[in-house]
This record gives sequence, C-alpha cells and structure tokens, in this order.
Amino acid sequence: MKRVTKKPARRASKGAGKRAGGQAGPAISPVASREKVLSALREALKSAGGEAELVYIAHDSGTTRFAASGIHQNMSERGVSVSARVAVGKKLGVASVNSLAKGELVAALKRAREIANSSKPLAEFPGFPGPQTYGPAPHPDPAIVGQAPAERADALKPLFAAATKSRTELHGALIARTTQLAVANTSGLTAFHEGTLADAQFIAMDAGIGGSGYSADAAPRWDGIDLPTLADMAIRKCVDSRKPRDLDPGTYEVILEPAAVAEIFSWLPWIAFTGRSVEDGQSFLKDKFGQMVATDAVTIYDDGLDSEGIPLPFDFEGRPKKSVYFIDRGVAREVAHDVVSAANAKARPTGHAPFPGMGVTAMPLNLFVAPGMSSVEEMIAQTHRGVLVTRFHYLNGLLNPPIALFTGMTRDGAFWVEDGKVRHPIKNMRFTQSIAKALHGAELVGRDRTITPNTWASFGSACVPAMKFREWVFSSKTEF
Amino acid sequence: MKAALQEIIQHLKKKKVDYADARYVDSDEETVGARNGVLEVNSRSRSRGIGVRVLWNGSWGFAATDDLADLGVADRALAVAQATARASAAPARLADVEPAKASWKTPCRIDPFTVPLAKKVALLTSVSESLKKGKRIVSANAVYTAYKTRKIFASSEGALIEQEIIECGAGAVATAAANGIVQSRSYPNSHRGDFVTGGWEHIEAMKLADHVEEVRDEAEQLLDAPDLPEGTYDLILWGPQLSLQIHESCGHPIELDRVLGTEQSLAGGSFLQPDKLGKFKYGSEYVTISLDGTIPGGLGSYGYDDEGVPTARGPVIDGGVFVGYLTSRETSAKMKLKPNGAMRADSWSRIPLIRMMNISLEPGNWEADELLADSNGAILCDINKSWSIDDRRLNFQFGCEAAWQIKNGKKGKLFRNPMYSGMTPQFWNACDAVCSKPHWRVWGVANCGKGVPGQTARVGHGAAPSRFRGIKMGASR
Repeated sequence: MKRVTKKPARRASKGAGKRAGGQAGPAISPVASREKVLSALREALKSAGGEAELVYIAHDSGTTRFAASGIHQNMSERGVSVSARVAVGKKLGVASVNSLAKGELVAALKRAREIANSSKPLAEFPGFPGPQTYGPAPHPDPAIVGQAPAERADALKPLFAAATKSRTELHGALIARTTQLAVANTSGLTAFHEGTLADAQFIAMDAGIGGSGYSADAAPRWDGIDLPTLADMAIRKCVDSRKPRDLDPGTYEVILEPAAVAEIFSWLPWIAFTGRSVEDGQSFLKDKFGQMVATDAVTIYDDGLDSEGIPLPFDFEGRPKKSVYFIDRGVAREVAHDVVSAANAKARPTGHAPFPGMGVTAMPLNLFVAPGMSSVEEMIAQTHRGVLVTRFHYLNGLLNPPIALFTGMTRDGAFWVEDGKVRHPIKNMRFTQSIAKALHGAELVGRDRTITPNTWASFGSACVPAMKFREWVFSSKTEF
Repeated sequence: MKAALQEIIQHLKKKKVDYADARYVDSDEETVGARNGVLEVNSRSRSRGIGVRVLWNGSWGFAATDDLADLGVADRALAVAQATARASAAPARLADVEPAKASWKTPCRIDPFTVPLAKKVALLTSVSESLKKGKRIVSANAVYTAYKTRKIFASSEGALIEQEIIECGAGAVATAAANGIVQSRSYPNSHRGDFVTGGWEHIEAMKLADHVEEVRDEAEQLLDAPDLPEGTYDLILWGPQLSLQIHESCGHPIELDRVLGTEQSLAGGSFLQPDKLGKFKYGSEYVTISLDGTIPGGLGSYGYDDEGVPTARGPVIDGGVFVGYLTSRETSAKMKLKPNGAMRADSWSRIPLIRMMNISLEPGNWEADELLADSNGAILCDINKSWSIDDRRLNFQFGCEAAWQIKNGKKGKLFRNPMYSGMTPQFWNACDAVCSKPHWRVWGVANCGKGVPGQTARVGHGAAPSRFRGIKMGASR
C-alpha cells in the first residue's frame, strides 16, 4: 500500500505570500505599535497608587474554514485584552478590560484595587518582578502581517480542485494571525513580544466509501507551511484508508504520527509536569525524580525560546522563559513552577506564570519532544504486528492521573501494520492506555517534528515527532 | 449602540448584500476561587465589541472589532464575504423567519454582581478550608463564576433584539491521596460545579457548606475502596453523569452543522444522518429527549439566538425514535426544516454556530427508591471524571468519581475508578427505567467546546436517575 509520510518541505505555498488583487479584504496588521502599547501601560500605571501590573494581549487574525472543498466560514477578528493585577500587601485583585484607552486602564486598576481590598493574603506572593532580560524571538512575518483573506482563498482553490480529481472533499482551516503580549508593572518591568502564526489543517474525506485522511502543520512564518503537500498528504491518506476493515481490540505495537503524539503530549504538562500536579500527587513523576520513567529515547521539555516551535520569550508576569526538562533521556528531571508552587517546593519560578485571573497553576506553553533518528517508514519496517495512527479524537487524560491513564479514538486514518509493511486500513479504535507505562516501551522517535498550536488560546504549541511504542491497549472499536 | 448597529446594517443594505446582521455584546465575568482556604483567584473582566456577518452572493463573511466607533467593520465583513466567494462551495440560503423586535432578560432574583465580594470570598475560602481538614485530603478547591451578557442584535431584515442573560455557578472538590492513589469527590458536580441562568439565589440554594463533610469523607473512603471489577452490569446513572451522557451522545449528534459536514475540522460529524430522521430507533420506548430553550433556570435558556430566531421547544427523540435536529437558518433551508434558535456565539468576536440549548431526557414514571429496590446488584455511578466519544458520536467511554453496588434497595459497596463504555444507540436502547418529575432537574454544562477558533458554550440538560441494562463496565487503572 502506498503511503505518504514525508515531512512537507519548508517552502512557500503556491499562491501564498502574493498579494491578491481586486477585493482582497482586510489585511492582518498589528493591533498597535510597541511604543503605543508600552506608553499606554506605563501611563496608566502612574495612577495605580501602589503595586500593580498590566498584562496586554492583542491579536489580529484571519481564519478561513472550509468544508466539502468550499469556504463556508471566513472570519477577520481583531481584539485586545488588558488585565490589571493589583497587590495590596499580599492581597491580590484582577480586573480586565478589552481596551487600551487610558480611561479604561485606569478604571481597571481601580477595580482591581477594590477587589484586592476584599481579598485574603496569598502568603507566597513575592511581589512583582523587576526589570528582566529576554532571549531572542523571531520577528513577525511580513507574509502574514498584511495578508488578506483573498490570499487564503486563492491558495485553497487549486487544492479543492485536486481533491475533486481524487474523488475526495477537503475540510479544514487555514489561519494567519499576529499576536502581541506585553507586561508592565510598578517595579519597573516592561516586556513586549510580537509574533505571527500560520496554521493549516486538512481533512480529506470520502463519505461514500468511508475514507478519511488528515495532515496539519504550523509555523511562525507563512512559508513554513507547505499547503499543496499538506493537502496532498491528506488526500492520499484518505484514498489509502478507503474500505477499512475491523480489527479486534487487543494490545499491539503502535506508531503514532506527530498529530497523535501532540494530542497526548499536550495533556501531559497539565496533569504531570507542573509543581502543582506533583504537590497534589497527580503527577506520575512524583517521587521519581532522578529515576528512569521512560526509555532513553524520550526527552520532553518546555522551552519558550526554541526557534523550532512558536517562541514566547516571557511569561504572563514578564519573567523570562527558560528551558525545563521534564524527562531527559528517560530520566525524570524537573517540573514547571509558578511562584506559589515554587515556594512550596523550595524551587525557583521557571517562567510559566499563568494569565492573570486563571489561578496559580504554572502553564507550560512551549512543549517539545526531542527528535530521534527514525522516519515513519523505518518505524513501519520495524513493526511486527501493530497499528499506525494518524491522529486521535476526543482524548481524555483524567481517567487516573497518577498513572497518566488516557483514552481516545483514532481518527482520519488508522492502518494495520504486519511484518514491516502497512497491510490495510482499519476501522477506528478506542485506546485506553497508561502513558506512564507506555513511555517505558518507547522504542523509536521520529527525526521530523510538526508544530501543533493550541486550538483554544492565543499562545501555546507542541512541537513533536512521530513515536513508536512497544505496547498500546486498543480497548474497543467503532463502526467506521 | 442600537444606532451604530443600524448604521452598519443600512450601510450594508446599500451595498446590496443578500443579508447582514450586526451584534453588539457587552459581557462581564466574575470568578472567585479558593484552594485549601487560600484565595487564589479573585477576578473580574469586561469585554465589549461588535461582530458583523454578511451574506454576499451566497458567501459568508465575518468581521469583529472591539472599537465601538469603528463602523468600518461593516466593509471588512463584506470584503471577507467577497474573498469567500473566490472559493466557496454551494451558495448559502437562509430559511425565512419573522424579524423580531423584542427584548428578553433572564429571570433573576439576586443579581450576582451586586452581592458583596467579601461575602463570596468568605464562602469559598471557608468551604475550601473545611474540605481540607481531612487527614488525607491533599487539595480542596471551591470556585464561583458569574456571567452577565448584554446583547443587541440587528439584521437587514429588520430584526432588533435586546437581551440580558445572567448565569452563575459554583462547586467544590476535595482530592485525597495516599500510597500513589488519588481520588476526588465533587459537589454538586465536577468541572467547576453546577450552573444556571439566574442569580445568587442559586448559589445560596446549593448550600455548599452543608456538603463539605460528605464530600471530604467520600474522597477519603475512595482511597480504601476497591476498583470496580470488570464485567457487565445494570447501570444506574444519577443526574450529573446522565446530563453529560445526554450531552455527548445526543446533544452533539443532533447539531445539523455537524451532520452536514461543516464542523469536520475539529468537532467531527454525526451518525444521525438525514436518512435516519423520523425512523431511526435511537433508544428504547422509555427514551424521550427534547430541546427546550425556555426552561426557567436552565443554563441553555435564552430568548433569541444570535441569528434573531426565538428559542424553541421540540422533540428530538420521541419514544425512542429520532425526530429532530438543532438547526441554523442556513441548515434549516437545506433540510426544509423550521429554524429552532440554536445559533449562538460565545462572544462578539466569534460567529454563531449551532449549539445546544437545554437538551433533556424527559422524566418517566419511576420513584427513585422503587428503582433502587428493583435493581439489586446494579452499579450506580455518580459525577463525571473523564469523557470521550468518537467523531461520529457512537463509541463512548465515561469515567466517574464513585460507584456503589445496589443491595436491598440501597447504595452498598463503594468502588473507585468506575468506567463504562458502549455504542450510543445500543446504550439508549438498553434504557428501561427513568425516574419521575420530582427527581428530574436541569444540570448546567458550562464548558462545551466547538469551532475554529474554539468557542465555549454554556448549555443545560434535564435528567432524572435512569437505568441501563447490561452495560460493559470496569475500572480506570
């Protein structure tokens, strides 16, 4: 069976990057200049009347969604959020507005002070940090800043035609976004970051015969995603997955392509890789630091400065990001800390402060799995009886956190592999698997990585390769 | 803002658009949260903006702005629609509705935003501090959230609708840990508690402080309880877990946008394809499920949706037979159905999607004590811990916080890590008992995700304890 597993080349997509003529639509642009943002924050802080911090987030984004090889939802959104956090001693209050106007910011600071006065002290609060130095981050991509929705439409049109030729339909989304984050406080800290994101997801479907294929990629630059190759991968996978057969539930070897690895590993920071999760006994790393918790093929870390991902040089308090190795060549090393969990663990904050008003759990937003040496084809060649999984659907990692027990369904292409070859597509399967256990059987790690951005927020991504595990429990099957 | 919205609409009408609507949304949110007696979250946010939808030559465009003076948002929405037309599929058409001129407000006795903050702080810190007192309790959390959303909707067809929707909820959870085992119990529900449309009176009626001891003790008891042995059991679902079962296996698959394939890129599709409408045996004769956006206090209750369509009541599953979808004006036109007011956006900056209102299993005839007396050996599962279902909403698996084996009409042996799984139609066809109206109530689900970019909807599900025969169960271990 012919399969497409090659990594898309980092080159400009046909049609992308060119400025469309005619009625091209609203171009993406930064919401405000760095000078305007920082000046507004500094000016407002003069009225704070005590310790205070302002956190500014803004985005201008174009989201083009398509279904059945036609655009059906097309959105231009532009918005600002500014959160004022005020400390009265160790009592904290947060008030947010969606404006950079001085009157609004002053009102937010006043409201935050009123809330702080009604609060109770947070003993571990160390005060707002002073001025910091930050690592480098890439400049915004001019192919995204200035992009109009017509450019996305023109880039998609030939891909829809290619899908039709293969008797498939394309569904998915093409997103271009510029995002700004700024922090300023009364201790003299000012920080500003502006980034861009290109994000493409393709699902090719053949409702008649039951095939379905998926491919996706994201990058800080528009030419970092190769739209024709991504669409082709989804279409060819859909064609390959027509007429799937039943597979009995059981324990098999498994090859997880990057989208499937990202689904799982994006959950792990929340249930296992923070100081809070260790404190609460939820983390499978608890009491295992310095011990092997995976094969030596596995290194998992968070790094806001790694240019292979979507860099973010500081957290929501303006503390510099630093790399945190959760698992280093199989050994449990450290977890991400906010100020409270750091105080409880007698550790230092790691640059993972949450957004104001979201509680005090550290937020690892830049997850990486270090690349290995294998291609997916090499993983297939080394599989005796196993399942090749494109991606998962509706994953849940809350079944039993101390063993990181997860469940989820395969989706958009699952294949039976036997004696080193892909044999045939299979109907979708449910897995119920302890990831803590699976990591001890991580045999191979892919050499190419794919970025998967956080669907639910302006920040956050996972940059992961394919992985092969010795054992994976497929607990039931479905009808398609 | 009415004048600004009407100016936008008039401007777009002059441009000869097929249809346009403009929506102003001004939303307040307040969250207070405490952990182990320490106040960790005390925040208030406000967000205001305008979202404009334009249908031009059958192609949609949407633009949103937080600058209330930026009427150029109208031209941007039109330009986006014109860009869509370069690669759109079949042209969109809208089912007819009578343009409404109306206002609607959530019935509310005590506006939660008027309750002194100190009172909320005292309640939540006190509850979490008391919960933490168990010897093996490692964390105890209590949280309250309230939302107030003011909306004005204007359309090119002449609709002009004002609404104020007030929602609030609260909950508490105790987590116990020992010897590498971690167990949690929540009240009144997990996932931040239970939510309603209504006011602070709902928070007071929860009596959070009165349930501290029970929650704390059960969390600790679960540490010593055995895992539920794998097997096939009769299953009794209590309200909170049954509400999520309805949500995932009925509420989502009846969303007509999913059915018609326009939400494949994140949410997936549905097994309830149009050829099944009116004839598919979804459940047993005891299963009647309704959509109803008018239930007082239901988290999915409102006056009009974000297309200006009045919320509706109607059958979804009638005596086990699948008979109804949740619809938009566009999907209604495709299927020649009447729109039922299900299009909602989670903010001014998002387009409306088909979302649930209150999707409820109608009450049956059983008294709860009769059901338990008739269910010797059955397993009763309470409060959701984990959830997963395939992208056509067939194969599901749920984990719950606790389970008890019914013995002599009462809750007997306690089990930890209970988990059950099945296929949607088989599961609902295995339902042979639903409790009566006195045992029925609407539970709020405040975190329903859908769409790209992601949107979060707040929806409701009425449910009474119900029994399902011969369900595959086990433990998440």
